[in-house]
Amino acid sequence: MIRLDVNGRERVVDVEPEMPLLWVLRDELGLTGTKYGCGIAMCGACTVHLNGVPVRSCSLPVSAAAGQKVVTIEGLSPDRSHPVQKAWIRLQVPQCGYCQSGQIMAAAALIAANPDPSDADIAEAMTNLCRCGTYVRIRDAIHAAARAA
Amino acid sequence: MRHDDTVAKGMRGVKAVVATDDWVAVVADNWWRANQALKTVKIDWDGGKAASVDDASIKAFLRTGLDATDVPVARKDGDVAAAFAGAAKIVEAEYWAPFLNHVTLEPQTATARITADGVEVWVGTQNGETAIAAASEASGVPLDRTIVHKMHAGGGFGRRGLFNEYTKQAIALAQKFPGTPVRLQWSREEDMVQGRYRPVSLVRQRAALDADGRWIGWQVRQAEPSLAAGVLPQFLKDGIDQVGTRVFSDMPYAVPNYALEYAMRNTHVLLGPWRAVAHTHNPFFRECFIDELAHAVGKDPVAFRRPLLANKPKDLAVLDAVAKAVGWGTPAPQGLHRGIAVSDSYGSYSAAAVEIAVKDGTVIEVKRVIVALDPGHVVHPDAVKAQIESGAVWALSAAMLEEINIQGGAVVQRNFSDYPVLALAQTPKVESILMPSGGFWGGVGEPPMAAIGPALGNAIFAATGKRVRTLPLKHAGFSYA
Ligand code: FES
Ligand code: FES
Repeated sequence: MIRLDVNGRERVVDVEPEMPLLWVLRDELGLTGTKYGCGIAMCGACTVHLNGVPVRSCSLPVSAAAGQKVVTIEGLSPDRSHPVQKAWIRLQVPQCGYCQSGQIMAAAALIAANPDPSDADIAEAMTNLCRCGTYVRIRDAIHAAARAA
Repeated sequence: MRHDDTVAKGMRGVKAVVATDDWVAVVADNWWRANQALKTVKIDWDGGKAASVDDASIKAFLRTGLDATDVPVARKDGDVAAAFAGAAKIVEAEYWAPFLNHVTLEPQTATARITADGVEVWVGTQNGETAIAAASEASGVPLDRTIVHKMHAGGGFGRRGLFNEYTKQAIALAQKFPGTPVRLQWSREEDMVQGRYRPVSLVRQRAALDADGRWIGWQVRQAEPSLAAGVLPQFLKDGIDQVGTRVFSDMPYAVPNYALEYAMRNTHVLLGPWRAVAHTHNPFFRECFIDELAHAVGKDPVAFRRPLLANKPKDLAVLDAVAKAVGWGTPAPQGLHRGIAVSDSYGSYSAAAVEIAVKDGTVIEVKRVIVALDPGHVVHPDAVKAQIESGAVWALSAAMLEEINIQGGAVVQRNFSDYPVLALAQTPKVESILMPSGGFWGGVGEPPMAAIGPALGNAIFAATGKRVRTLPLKHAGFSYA
C-alpha cells in the first residue's frame, strides 16, 4: 500500500512501487486530466506538481511520490480561477487541448518561481511539446498571467 | 506472424492476450500493466517481400520514375521541346522530401463496448461517418445499432479520418469482454511505427529562360507513391494522382510552355493525408525552384514573379502584402536574411515571408514569420490567426526537423527522441495578415502552411548561398537553434 497526497486528499493505492505516477493518477484514481504522450519524459503532457515543482509523471515511480504533495490539473484551482487558467481562456490558447493540462501545470510552476519571466525564461522552462503549435499563444498567455498574478 | 505470450499471461492485472494475423494486444486493469506485459510478448514478424526495403531502395525506385519514358502527362501548355531548343539558359534541379508522421500528441485510442443491444464506440475522430462504418463492419452489428460518440481528438491532422484500425482493434478486444467497455491505447512507439505517412517525393524540374531572362519553358517530373492509389481512389485518374500533383497541375504562373509528368511509384509504406497533403512539399519544390530561376537571371525573386502572376490578382495581392510587411526591397536589419514564397491551396491564397539569422554558417534561427491569407471570407479572425500560428509551427517543424526512415521494411523512429518536433524555444514571432477579398470560401487550416517552408528555404539561400533541395534541412548541413 502506498499513501499519496493528491490535490490535498489522502489516497491509498495498492500498486507496484515502480508504476509511474501517471498511471496511478489516470487508471487507479480516475484523474484523467493528466495525459500520456510519450512515456519517456519528452513531451510534458503528463506534467503535475510534486511539492510545487513540475515533474513528468510518466517517468516518476509512484514510490517517489509517496507522502509528497501531488497537484494535478484537477487540483490547480477549484474553479479555473488560477491566473494561468484565466489567461489561457482569455487568449484562447488551446487547439486540440491534449497538451494543455501539462502546459498549464508547467506555466503555473514557472510563474510561482519567477513572477516576471522573460521570453528566454519561458523558452527555457516551457519544454512541453504541442503538436498543434500553440506556442505563440502559450508565450503570450504566460506574460499575461504573470502581469495578472 | 507467431507469438509467445507465456510470461505476459501470468503478469499482474493481465486479463487477456489477444492476437490476430497482424497484431497482438494485452488487456489489463491498468494501461501500464498492459504495456509492461506486451513488452514481454515474443513476436516473430514476417516482413515478406518488404523486409528488404529501406530508404536507399525506395529512393532508387523513385529515381526510375525520373527517367522512365512512358509516364502520363498531367498538364501540357504550349510546346516545351521548342522552348528548350530555343533557350538561352537552362536550369535543372532535383528536390526530395521524406515520409512524415502525424504524431498527434495523443497516440491513437478508442474505447468499445459490445452488448446484446449493439456496439458503442468512444473515439476522437475527424470523420464520424467512416468511424461508424468501421465499427459496424468490425463488429458485424448493423448500423442502426451502432453508436459512435465523437470525443475530443488529441490532434488529427489527417490521421484520424480515413483510418479506423484502432477502432476496429478496440472492437475486437471488446468482443472478448461482452458488456464491458475496453479502452485501447496505443503506445507512442506503436503510433510511430503504425502511422499513415506523408508520401516521399522526388521531383526534377527544368526551366528554359530566354536571353532577356524571361521564363519560357518548364518541365516538371514527379516520382512518388500515390496517396490516392492507396486511400482516395476517387482522386485517381488515368494513372495520375489528382491530389499529389496539386501545386504543379494548378500552378498560377504564366509560363507559356509547360509540361507536368507524373510517375507513380508505390511502395509498401502506408500513406495518409498529412495536414495540407501535397501542399506540404510541392510548394517547397516549386517556390524554391522559382527562387533559383530569379537568381539565375539576376532578378529579385518578387520582381521575377510579379509579371508571371499578372493575371492572378489574388496570388499577387498576398505576395505583395507580405513583401510590404517584411520591407522587401529595403535592406534587412543587420544579421537578418529574408525569403519569400506564394502558394494558393484549398480555395485560399497565401504568401509568406521569413526572416532568419544564421550562426556559424549552419545554425538557423527563425526570427519572424509573416503570412498573408485571403480565404475569401473571415468569420472569426482570432481562430484564423490561431491556424496561421499553428501552420507556421507545422511548416517549420517539417522543414527543419521531421523525417521517417525505413529500414528492413519497417519504420526506424520510435518516439520524440528520434522524431523531434518543433518546441516553443524554436518558435518565432508569427504575424498574420488577413485579407479576405470576398466572393468565395476557402480553407484556413492548411493554406497558411504552404508558403512558409519555401520562404525559409529561400531565406537560407539569401543568407548562405546554399540551396536546400532535400528535406529536412539537416541533410544540407543545417541545424536549428
Ligand atoms: S507522457 Fe510524460 S513526458 Fe510525455
Ligand atoms: S493543443 Fe493540441 S497538442 Fe497542444
